[in-house]
Amino acid sequence: MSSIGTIGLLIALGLSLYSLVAFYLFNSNKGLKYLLSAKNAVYGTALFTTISVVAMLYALIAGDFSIEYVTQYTSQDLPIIYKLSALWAGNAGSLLFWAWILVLLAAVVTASKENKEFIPYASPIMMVVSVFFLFMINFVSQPFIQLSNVPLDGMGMNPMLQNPGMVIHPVTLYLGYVGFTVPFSFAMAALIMKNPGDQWIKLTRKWTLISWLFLTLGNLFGAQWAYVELGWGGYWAWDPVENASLMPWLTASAFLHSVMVQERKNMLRIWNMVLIIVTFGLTLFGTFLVRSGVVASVHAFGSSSLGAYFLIFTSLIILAALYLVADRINMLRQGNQFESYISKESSFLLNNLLLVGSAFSIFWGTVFPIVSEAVVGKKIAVGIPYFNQVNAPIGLAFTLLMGICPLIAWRKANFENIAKNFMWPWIIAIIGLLVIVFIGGITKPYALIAYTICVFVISSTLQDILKGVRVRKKLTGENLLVSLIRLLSKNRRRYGGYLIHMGIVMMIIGITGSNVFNSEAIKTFKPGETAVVGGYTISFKGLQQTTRDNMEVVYADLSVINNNNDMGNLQVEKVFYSKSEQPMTEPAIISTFKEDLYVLLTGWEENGSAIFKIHINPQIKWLWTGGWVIVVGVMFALWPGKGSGVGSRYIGRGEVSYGKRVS
Amino acid sequence: MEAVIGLAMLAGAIVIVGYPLIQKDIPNYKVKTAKNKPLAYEQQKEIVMSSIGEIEFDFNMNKLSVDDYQELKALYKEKAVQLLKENDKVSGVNETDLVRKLEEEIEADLKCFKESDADEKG
Amino acid sequence: MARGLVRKISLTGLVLVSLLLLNISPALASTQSDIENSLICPACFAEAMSVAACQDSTAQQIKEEIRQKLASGQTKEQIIKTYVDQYGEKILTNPPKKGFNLMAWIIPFLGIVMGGALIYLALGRWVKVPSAKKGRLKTKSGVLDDYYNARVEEEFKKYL
Repeated sequence: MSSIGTIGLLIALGLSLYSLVAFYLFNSNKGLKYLLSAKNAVYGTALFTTISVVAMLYALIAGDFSIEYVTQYTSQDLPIIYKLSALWAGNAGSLLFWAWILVLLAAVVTASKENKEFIPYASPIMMVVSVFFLFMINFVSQPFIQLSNVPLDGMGMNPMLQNPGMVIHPVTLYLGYVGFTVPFSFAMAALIMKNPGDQWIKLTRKWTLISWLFLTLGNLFGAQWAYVELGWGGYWAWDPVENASLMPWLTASAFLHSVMVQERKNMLRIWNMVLIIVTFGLTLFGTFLVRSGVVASVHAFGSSSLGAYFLIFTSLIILAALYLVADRINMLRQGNQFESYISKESSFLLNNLLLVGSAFSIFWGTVFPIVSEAVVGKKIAVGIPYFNQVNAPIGLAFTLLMGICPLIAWRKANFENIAKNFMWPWIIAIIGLLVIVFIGGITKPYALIAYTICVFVISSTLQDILKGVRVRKKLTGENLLVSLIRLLSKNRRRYGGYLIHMGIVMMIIGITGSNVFNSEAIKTFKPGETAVVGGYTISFKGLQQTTRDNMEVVYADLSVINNNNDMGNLQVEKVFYSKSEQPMTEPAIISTFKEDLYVLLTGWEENGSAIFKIHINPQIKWLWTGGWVIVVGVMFALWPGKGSGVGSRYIGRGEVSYGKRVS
Repeated sequence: MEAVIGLAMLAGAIVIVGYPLIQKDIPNYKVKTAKNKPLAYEQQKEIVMSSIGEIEFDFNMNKLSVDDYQELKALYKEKAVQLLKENDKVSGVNETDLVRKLEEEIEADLKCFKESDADEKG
Repeated sequence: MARGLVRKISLTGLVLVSLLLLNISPALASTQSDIENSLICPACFAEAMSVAACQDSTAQQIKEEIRQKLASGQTKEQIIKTYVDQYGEKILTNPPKKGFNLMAWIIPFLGIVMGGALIYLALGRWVKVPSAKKGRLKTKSGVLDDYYNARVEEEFKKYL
């Protein structure tokens, strides 16, 4: 098995290198046969990488402990799903996995019919990135290294990774990371082809949005995993690795918005190029952070030479891309202009400023320990409080913009239409504020500001939809229901976006509630004792012990009653894995939209009483639910057919352009 | 055994990329850029018409000022009229025919109107 | 007028942001977890994990120490200071806001303010306040203008 894997990877590397040569020959007019051959080389790369991945998966499932990687990350008693997910549990395997997604994506893009003109340029750029990853797994971090003396059993997987969240989180995250290679490649192709219009944006819109969705989900699944597995009651610790996946998300969000200005007004061409380059660079930068050990991180895979390779490759490709932009800058300069200071166009600039500013602040905080050590020679840590303090105001500001921007006019906005459009949302927001203060009894300023903003965004979005229905009714004479359905389904891009905004607002509500109002208590229960904690009546019967797959479990069944409602049983566990010395504390959670009851078994005494840590985390469910709302929003916006196209162009005087509507 | 599998895989790879090369070459085609492709009438019409729709919609939503609305509407309307005219010309609708047809319609309307008028009186 | 509006809006924004910054620290559940959150577990410097988040024995031990110190009447500041004296500033999850560390807070906002200024300047270059109605050259009016105009008015609704 291991030799098939090794040979497969070598051939894949050879093919990917060959494809670059063949694409080059085609592009210098040596004949169509080179294009066909190059495309086949791309497909071949995908095929042979797939063979290696299959070989690795086979080895993992069969427990072929002659392969070092299999020994390091699995054991015989590991459940089969985790044997599969061991593919991305370690350095070499996760690089193999990454390379695999990348070459598959390259093959799909190369085969697609709609981007024909771009393929000879975009495809080789994807292959350049593929060559790098294939080089890494062939020569730097090889997954198929064999052991000379084969052990009887492997060392097992880190218990923290034995969780459904860790099966899905890396997959979604990698799909998001890798996906941005597509818009990046098309952007570069557009520059090489001297075709600086918005074609590349339209062709890759689907890819960009789907990658963004995966990145969103990757982050959320990661947060959820931390919440249900790590047992500290939180879900986001601003660890460098988490930051590394949040930064490209922020810049990609900025990109998704600013391309609209280019599509509508043919402006911001240079900025969009820079944004996609930065986003792509950040997806690689994250990997550099994780693998290099330069910053302290929970996720550190251990320091290795990998980081240096990543740093060099990332720098080279970013420099090359920026050089290309600089070289073509005259072509990118914009012809159009803004008609006024306040307009939808300029509000997009503000949105971009905040999103990129937030990404920058996170970047700065992440590298600040290095900066500090280099400049003043002092080793310090920059942790959760810093990031919260800096990002909370920025985050609230761009939440506010989500309510304002959709209502601002294109071209020129004036006082009159601003006042008209915003009157009701503000009235509702103020009523909401009063309700929150006097009925909800909330007085913490941060929460008040955040909730008021959220109410404002929701009401301004709803108002916009209602008004849209009225206007449509007036123009077409349809009845209310028909015009609502047609309005939404014929402008899916806009209203899908609104739905995504609603998802983000739900997440903001969740983040606010769980950060501002969380509370915790530590309580020792004697067997048979019942106590009231945070409004929950909790009864403890006693500790029990059991054996499961590869673990010994000490657990307590707690019955929970809240407001005379039986909330069911909580099974709180301390798990001793066969291959690990430290026990894992598995929290048990009762989750409602009001709050989560989050209980940990921290220890026990000889007399049979047990010590529990009980967190009350308000509104966390909103965060996860918001994520699913975003999924629905993206699918609504992207669903093929009429209505997913971009709107018309509001360009300057005297010209009408026929932008191709891509649906 | 492993050597055989390895060689077979290598051979496969070579066949995949080599096959197009030994085929009779098709002359190199120039990659056309889409920006030169003229759009069909229906597509052009859809763009212009939906732009007018959007302008109308945004104006009614208070998202376009009166000035902008008038300017953009006039701009796109002109374009739309031009498109319709050109298409009529291509599909053989003669302008004088059209004028006559319109006049006939108006007359018919008038007649109708008179008759109903007469009916009411009668 | 537009410029005046921009100024007003940005001023309001500035006031809002500074209000937020003053009110910044989200109230935490208790002094205990407050302290746990502001210290890094000494066994986990490589991971920069806070005492609150860490699950290993060193963290448990420190949690217990904090509990005892609080019970004996020490304040939050005193307790944190003991640990800083023992391990150095690197034990803090949040670097003290003084000296070079201030750069950590200032630079991001400076960046945003500068970006904002850049946008403002760029807008200044891009914005062409349209001059009052340039009389559009009316194309030669034909007999059928009304007919076609009406047709456009009718047909665009199909594309709405």
